[in-house]
Formats: sequence, structure tokens, C-alpha cells
Amino acid sequence: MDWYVIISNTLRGGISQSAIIYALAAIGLNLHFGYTGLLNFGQVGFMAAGAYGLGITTDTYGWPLWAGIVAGLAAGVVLALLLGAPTLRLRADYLAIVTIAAGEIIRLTVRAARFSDTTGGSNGINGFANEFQGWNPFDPSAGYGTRVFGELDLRYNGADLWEHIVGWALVGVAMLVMWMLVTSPWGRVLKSIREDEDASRALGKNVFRFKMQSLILGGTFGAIAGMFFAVSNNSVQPDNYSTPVTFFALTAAIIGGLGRVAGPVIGAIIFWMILAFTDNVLRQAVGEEYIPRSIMESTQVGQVRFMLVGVGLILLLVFRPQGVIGDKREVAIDVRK
Amino acid sequence: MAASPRVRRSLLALLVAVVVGLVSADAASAQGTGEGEGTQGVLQFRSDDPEVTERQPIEGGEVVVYAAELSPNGRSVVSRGEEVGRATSAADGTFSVDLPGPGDYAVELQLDTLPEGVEIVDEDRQTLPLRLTENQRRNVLFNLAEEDAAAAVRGREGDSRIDRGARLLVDGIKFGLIIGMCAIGLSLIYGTTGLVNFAHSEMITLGAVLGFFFNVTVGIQLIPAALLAMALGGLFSVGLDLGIWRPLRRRGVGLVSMMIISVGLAIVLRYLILYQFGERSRAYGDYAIQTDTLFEIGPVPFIPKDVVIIVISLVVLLAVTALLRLTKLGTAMRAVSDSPDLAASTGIDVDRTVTLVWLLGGVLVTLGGIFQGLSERVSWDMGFQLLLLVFASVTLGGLGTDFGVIVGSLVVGGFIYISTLAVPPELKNVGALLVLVVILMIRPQGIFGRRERIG
Repeated sequence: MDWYVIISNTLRGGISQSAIIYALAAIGLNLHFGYTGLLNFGQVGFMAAGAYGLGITTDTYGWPLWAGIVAGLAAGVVLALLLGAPTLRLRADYLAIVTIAAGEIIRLTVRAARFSDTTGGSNGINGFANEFQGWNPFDPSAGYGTRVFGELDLRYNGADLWEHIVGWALVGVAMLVMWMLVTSPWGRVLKSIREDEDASRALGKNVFRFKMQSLILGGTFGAIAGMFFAVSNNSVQPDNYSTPVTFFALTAAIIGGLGRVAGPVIGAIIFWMILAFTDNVLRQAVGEEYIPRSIMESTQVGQVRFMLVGVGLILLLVFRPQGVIGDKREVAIDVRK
Repeated sequence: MAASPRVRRSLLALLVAVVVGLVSADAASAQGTGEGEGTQGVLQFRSDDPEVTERQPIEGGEVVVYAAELSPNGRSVVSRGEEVGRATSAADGTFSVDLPGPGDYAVELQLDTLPEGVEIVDEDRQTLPLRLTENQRRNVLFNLAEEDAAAAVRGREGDSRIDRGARLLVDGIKFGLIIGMCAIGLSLIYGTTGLVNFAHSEMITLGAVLGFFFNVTVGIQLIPAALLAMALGGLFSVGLDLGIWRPLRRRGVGLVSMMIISVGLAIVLRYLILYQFGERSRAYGDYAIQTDTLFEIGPVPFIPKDVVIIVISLVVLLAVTALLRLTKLGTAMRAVSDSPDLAASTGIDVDRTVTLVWLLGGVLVTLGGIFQGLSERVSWDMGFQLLLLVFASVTLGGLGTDFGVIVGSLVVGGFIYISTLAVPPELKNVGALLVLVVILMIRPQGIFGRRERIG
């Protein structure tokens, strides 16, 4: 076992592009579920709305990248309005089913050959965000960073470095915005809705409007996550926006702690460090035949990782629903029966 | 679980990751960067012979690449310039063309070089656009088939809409009955415990895979194999209740937490099945291919397995509704649905009733999974693909009901198939999901559900 490789890949996993995407998506879920009590199982739909809003306007209609980003944000808002108007009056489990269906409707529609002139069908849209690397102040092919302690490899090329800096800056801004939102009077109303909707209504708050605002803002974070995914890969693929993404983002949010600003970010980092760690350890164990081939092959490592995710999700909810930094009294799960 | 078949592993762990959307796009898209710009692909065709499911390679097919002007998004050819390269496919059907540099090209398949009887399915796709960036090699794909298979893909032309509608209705009813069998357990479990069980989809897959294990791996005929699978599926379902859900209820874990826990359980089961079964879809050893019709009603030919699926499903579903209405057990189930506390105070053993609901649901969903595997094929994600349709049926009929769910399933199944008269088949599930959303907007309790406060 090469522990230096395992540890450096684990560290890289924690700050990877995936961690950034899931952190942003989970921040949105945290606003929905952690602060407002809305169980959104279709966050991936908002991600797809952002990514395709951006991809379609820039690629098919030739808009500049900044205009495409505006369009992606707008697509997220429109989706929130469409979804929220009829469903925010529903109970949590119904809302979950509607949002999960909405996410799947979007994926099936954009991957349909019928619309491939606009959406690229199952191939998606590629090569629309070259401008992003055009803004890169670093030399894309040059190496940056260093080895730490002699062996830990934390080097990135200029293109990746730029992507990571932009991504984590986005996460930082999103956390700042969230902090300002949830410490404001508006945020306190959201928490009161989470704790007791009828009580907030009795105090004269327009509960529906607050829930809608929460859905739109959280969906916007999802759209930003989707757009970052699209821009950093210079590509949008429909099957990258399938249902499990929402569940993994939710898992990340629960790991970190719902109802805390930093919870989803810490959760996403831990989630991807665990995935990278188990992936590397299992791959090496299989490669060096510590685990016999008859039990596991290297192609199955990915599957085992996801089983661990599922087991982890179950154990967390049973034994530590507040996650790493959450406050048990603040965790929204099951406040409203 | 450990009993499910250990079969040959599939090649691409990558594909798994793509399915769950975790890898970056350069792995996900069908393009790679290699030695200089170029294009490549495999010429292969779908056979008319129903026993031959693998596509057959074509040797000697010729592909010509022209410089071209493409539309701004690169997805259609505006005009074609001079030839820049050509290639002939090898014995395994592969071809590869090196191209002079990045830019726009049009790739044309020479139809006269194809073997006798093989044609291109979509005639507009004989010339494909190709846009290459530096060092990029992209795959191009021509959809080829023998005459009958091509006609089948194009949608049987020449048939009247009514004939097709009748056939689709029968297919839809069959599909609806299968969904109903899967949905009833979900609905009853919700009714008695309030749990929206997202892991129910994996019970569908598990049922089909258990059937496959007994039928193909062990080698028992499908009917006894199905009975064995149903017994095991029911036991597994009871095991889930006793091992996970009952302790959680005792701990006082709330319903929303339990719903998310069921998501976690679904993830575990799905990947456990994938781990054991592999990602290739497979057919059962018996009744998989039937081409002779048993009888015809009007324009609709019935093959034996479809008749069996429809008849058994109907009988089972009617028996279940009778059980719930006419027996003491059914009364107990409905009493627990109404109010567990009240039921307990009248002397009903609530825990035992709930466990029996899990048993019933587990047996039915296993049979549903086997029928779906018989109707289509067995694959690791078949349950997940059905899950939202099952939800749609349950919601339409009324969560917690029995008869309502059967009606809901038939409507959803029929709707999905009939809608293909108007929409492309790839969008048929979208229509059903839209219906789900619309129902929740206008009548969240479903057709037969009791009106209650849902806000």
C-alpha cells in the first residue's frame, strides 16, 4: 500500500471539483431543508436547469459566457417558480415526490433525441465555455503547487488551479450570503416556519411567500452548482444530472450538519475525502491482492463506495442526525409531523 | 442477498460512475484525445433474427470524410467541401480516419458498400457532422439494421393508428398490472406505517434478480424459481421490517428521517445488486423469446407469456383486494391504517399486522419484478427506473389505498403506452411524470384517497 498516494488523493478529493459542486448544491438544500423544512429531492433539477440554461444559450444561440450565466440563473429561478407555485402547500413527502419527478422530467427531456438540435440529446453540449479558461491568469499547462513532506503530491496544472480557485471562491461567497440571510430577520422567519408553520401564520407571516423565496434562493445555489459543473468541464451531459446526485448532496449536507451555514461545505469535503480514501485503499488492496479477485475486482470498487455511502446515510440519521457540527435542537428533520 | 448470482463482471466501472453522475465530462462523453485529429467508429447492424440480440459487425463498409461547413452549434451540415479522408471497416466493423487538423467535417457512409439487406434506419443521418478541436478523436455512430428491424425501429408504418392504439393499450394494461403489483406493497406500507419507502424500487430489482438466480444460475424452471424467489423476497421484506423499521419505530424516529433512511437503504441495495449481478441486462432461461402468437383479438396478437402475465396479475391483484376486504387480517390492516392507537386498543396486534403487510408487499413486489424481467429483461437498475412510475400510480390512485392503486397503475401503464402514438417513445415516461405532478397539484389525495389535510 502506498499511503502517500492514498493520503494525497484523499486531500485532493476533499478540495476537488466534485466537492465544490456538491458543496454548492448542498448549501441550497440546507436552505430548503435545514432552515425552511422543505424536503427538496430534486436539487439536481435546479443544477440541470442552470447548466442547460447556460449551455443552450451560449452554444445553440451563440451568447457570450457571462450572458449564458445570467440565463442559467434565470432558468433556476423559473424552475423554482414553476415547481413552488403548486407544491409548496403540500406535505413534506409529497413535495419530495414532486421534486424528484421534476428532476427526472428535466433529464429525460434534455436527453431526448427529439430535442437534440437544442440540447444535444444524450451527447449533451460540449465546448461552449472556452472563454472560462481564456480568463485564466495562470498558464494552463504549467505546474503549480508543491510536494508537501517530501511525498504528498499537491500539485495542480494552471487550468485546474484556476478552476479550484474560482470554485472555492464561489463556495465562500455562497456561505457569506447564507450567513447574511439566516442571521437576518428573514432567516428567523424561515426557522419559525420550519419549527411551526401555523404559529408563523398566526403571527401574520405570509408563509407561502417565505417558502417560495427560500425555494428560489436555494434553487439558485443549485443552478450555480450546475453551471460550475458545466463550465469547469466545458460540457453538459444529461446523465450527470440524475436523481442520485440529489441524494448524495443531501448526504453531504447531513454529514456536515443541517441548519448550520458551514455544515454542507464541511459535509461535502468530508464526503469526497471518504469517497477518495475508500476508492484508493480498495483499489490498492485489490491491485495487490490483499482482497482476492474472487471477492472484488477493481471495476467493483466504485460500487462498494456507494454501498458505504448508503450505510453511512442510514447510520447518520439513526445515531447522529445533527451531523458533525449541527445542533440537535436546530435540525429540522421531523419537526413537522 | 448473498445468494444472488455471481455472474461475469462487466467491463466499465466508469459507466457506473456516469450513471450516478460523478465523473467529469471528458470521461462521460464519447470522445477522447489521442494521436492527432480524427474520427472513428464501429459499423454494425441490428439483425432481423430475434434470437440475435448482439449487433453484427460489417466488414468492408466505406466511410468518406469531407471538409464541411457546419451550423454554429455544429449539429448539422450546411455545405460539403472536398474529400479529406476515407476508410473501410475491418472484420470487427471498426474504422478510423485520420484528419488534417481541427475544424468542421462531414462524415458520409457509402450505402452501396453495405451488405445485402442492411439499411440505415434514419436516412437523414447518412451524413453526420463532426467538429474537432485540437488533438480530438470523436466517435461517429450510424444506426444500421436489416430491413425488418429497421422498419420496426421506424415504427411500423402502414399500420392504422387504431391497430397500433389497440396493441399499445394491451401493452399498457400489462405494464400497468406489473406496476400495480409493485405499487400495492408501497401503498399498504404507507397506509399502516406512514413510511414513504424509497427502497421499494430495489425490492422490484431484488425480486427479478432472485428469480434469475434460481432460474439461470441454479437452473430451476422459471415457475418454481419464481415461487422460491417470492418466498425469499417476502422473507427479506419481513427481515427489513423486523431488523430496521420496527426498531426505528420503537426509537421514535420520525417519518421524514425514515424516508431519508429508506433512500440510504435503496442506495445500499442497488449497488449490492449491481455488485453481484453486474451491469449487463439478462433474460430468463425460460419463455424469454416467444414469437408465435397464442391467439389474436382483432389486430392484437397475444404471445403466451403476455397472456400469463396479464391473467396471473389480475387474479393476484383481485385476490389481494378480496383479502383486504373480506378477511379478519384485512380488517386489521385497514384498522391499523386508520389509527394504530385505536387499533391497538381494540386488541389488534399492530406490530404483527405491520409485519404481515411487509410480507404481503414483499411477495407481490417480487412477482412484479419477475414479470417485469420476463416482459423486458433483468437489469440492476430496473426497479429504479420503475420507482417514479410506481409513485405516480400510487399517488393517482390514492396513497394508502389498495383498489385505488390498481386503478391508478392501469391508468399510468395505459397512458404511458398510448401516449407513444403522439410523443416519441423516449419521452413516454415524461408524460406519466407530468401527470403525477399535475395530480398532486389538483387532487393530492388521489382518485380514491380520503380527503385529509395535506398542507
